[in-house]
Amino acid sequence: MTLLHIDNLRVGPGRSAPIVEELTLTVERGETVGLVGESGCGKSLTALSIMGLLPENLRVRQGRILLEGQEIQSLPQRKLRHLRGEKMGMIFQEPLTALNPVMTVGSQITEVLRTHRGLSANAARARALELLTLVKIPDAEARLNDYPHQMSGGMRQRVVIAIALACSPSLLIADEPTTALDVTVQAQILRLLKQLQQEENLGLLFITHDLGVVRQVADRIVVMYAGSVVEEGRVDAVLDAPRHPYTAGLIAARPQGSFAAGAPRLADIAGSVPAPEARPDGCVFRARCPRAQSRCEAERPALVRAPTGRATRCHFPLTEGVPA
Amino acid sequence: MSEPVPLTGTGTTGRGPAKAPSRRLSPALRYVLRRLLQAVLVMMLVMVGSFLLVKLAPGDMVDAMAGTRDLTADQIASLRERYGLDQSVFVQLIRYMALLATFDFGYSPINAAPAMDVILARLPVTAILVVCSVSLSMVIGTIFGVLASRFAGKAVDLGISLFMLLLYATPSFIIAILLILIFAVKLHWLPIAGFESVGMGYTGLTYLKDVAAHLILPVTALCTFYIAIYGRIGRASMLEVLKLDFVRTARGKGLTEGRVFYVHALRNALLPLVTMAGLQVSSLFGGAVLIETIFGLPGMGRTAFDAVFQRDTNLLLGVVFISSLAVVIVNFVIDMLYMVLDPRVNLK
Repeated sequence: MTLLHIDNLRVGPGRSAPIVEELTLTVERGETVGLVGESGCGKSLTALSIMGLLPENLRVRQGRILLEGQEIQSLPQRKLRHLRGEKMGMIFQEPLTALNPVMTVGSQITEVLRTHRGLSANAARARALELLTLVKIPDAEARLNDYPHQMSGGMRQRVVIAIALACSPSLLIADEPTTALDVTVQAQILRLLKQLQQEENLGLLFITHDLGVVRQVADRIVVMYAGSVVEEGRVDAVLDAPRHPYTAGLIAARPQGSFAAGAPRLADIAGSVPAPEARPDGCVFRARCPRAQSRCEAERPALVRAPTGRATRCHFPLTEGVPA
Repeated sequence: MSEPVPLTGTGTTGRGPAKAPSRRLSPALRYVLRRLLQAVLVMMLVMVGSFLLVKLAPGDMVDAMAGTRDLTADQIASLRERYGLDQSVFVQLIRYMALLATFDFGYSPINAAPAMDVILARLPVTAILVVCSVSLSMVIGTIFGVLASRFAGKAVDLGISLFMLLLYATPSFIIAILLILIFAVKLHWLPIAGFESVGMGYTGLTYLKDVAAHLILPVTALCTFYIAIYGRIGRASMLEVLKLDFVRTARGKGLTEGRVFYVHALRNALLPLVTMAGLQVSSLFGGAVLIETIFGLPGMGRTAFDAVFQRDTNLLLGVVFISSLAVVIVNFVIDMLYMVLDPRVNLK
């Protein structure tokens, strides 16, 4: 059974335009899916929808979210609460502010175990120690009594990971877990996440805007633009031969080579992401697309899925072997 | 661990570099000593300032003594000489500070007793009044504020906010008079005024009950305004904290909403309330004159008020001294509380 299946999801405020639209996504057990897109394209909202942590003004308006076959988008909070932390864990972007400053690291880990597993104080502490060792925090015993401010950003993110993994969930959602960290720490955290994902056979939904990170950790990649999926497939296949012009643009916009004087200017995608209420009819990307034609204005392209699992939402996809 | 992972910033991160211990004093002890020194300096500045202010005002304690009796010019002159009032202000200041250093406040002519004795007799009244009102208003106000934030934007929040506004806008002396009219005059449930029933000779538990009955109305009158303040600060502080990332983490862990609210958010929201408690103690200590007068309580506020109008400078300065001391002590306690509530606050 598919671990996480999101089917035709629409998320938005009551009356105005939806922010996430026609979003379909699956994550299998033991698989890492990289969810990629610009800021504001709906990546984080997708994650919060799964967790049931959407801000009060936003709701799932349409579609289904299935976790191990169970529909969870319409569950009341008190039932959803039992799934959070137990079946699905989440790692947030800002390790510096993601932990409660007035509680020790130990108590922030043990409370998950006590809530979901009903462990005794001693048993929970023993498991917390195990978890800190699992996320490779040295001198774990002493660190249990530390407060978050006594730890570096990388250490704190390890604690956040330990909390997310405390009850051995089957799904882990990581929302830009390394964005706020410096590069060397980033690499360590990525390696740790990848290792834990393999050891625990986790389904990992990894949200990022960094294509290099995706190539490093993910098996499959899902590219979002303006609230919906525009391209999907095996990481290497998509990154080596993108079919959607937006994906191609993203790849071309990555800094490569030197920043020395005389080096070529960074490529960019002209224009900017339209706000949800300003999304045009037809293809939402057409205003910024070098390949746009009149059909793109008249008709919203569907996400066309090939038997290989490769999917593209474009009337005029790039064909393999043709550079963008 | 299979591979040695290079870890950045472990070990001493955030704990600060281990400095060589200077003069073998623990940081906590050094902190307390420094605060003590600061307190002594503050008290000296307050007393010098107050003394000079009092001297700037016309009239002295001999005028006060002369006002009630027929004294000849000679008698007045000899009294001035006896109390050192014929000396220059500077000499008087030095003498007063020397006297103060031995915890002697001098003589209080309107009470015909040492000022210290007068103040010590009235201190308990004020202390009980302040402690009861601060703790009650803080607890009740915080409960209101937290409830309002829990139901922010809903009917409960609106109701509490309106009630807070009412308490906030009504002067405490009006509330005091209303309370007396309703509970003492009409219903006869509680005594009208005073600290205890005079001449009843109560002892033990009966005495405590008697004092408590006398305190209910004045404490309530002193609380109302501050309940509104704590309520408003508490609500705002909770709403601020609830927006922070760690609250989302707590929800993401699947904790109950109650635990997210009362364990994770509340403790972080308490700091501004503790600050307010410090301010409240300071302002009530000598500032409850109106309420003390309405309820006929012999507290510090009234003592100061009487001392001002009857030119009893020693008594007035004594009250200033005790009130300042209370403020200094309360500030110290508040700083200690900060450290307990927020581990990020350091001994500094």
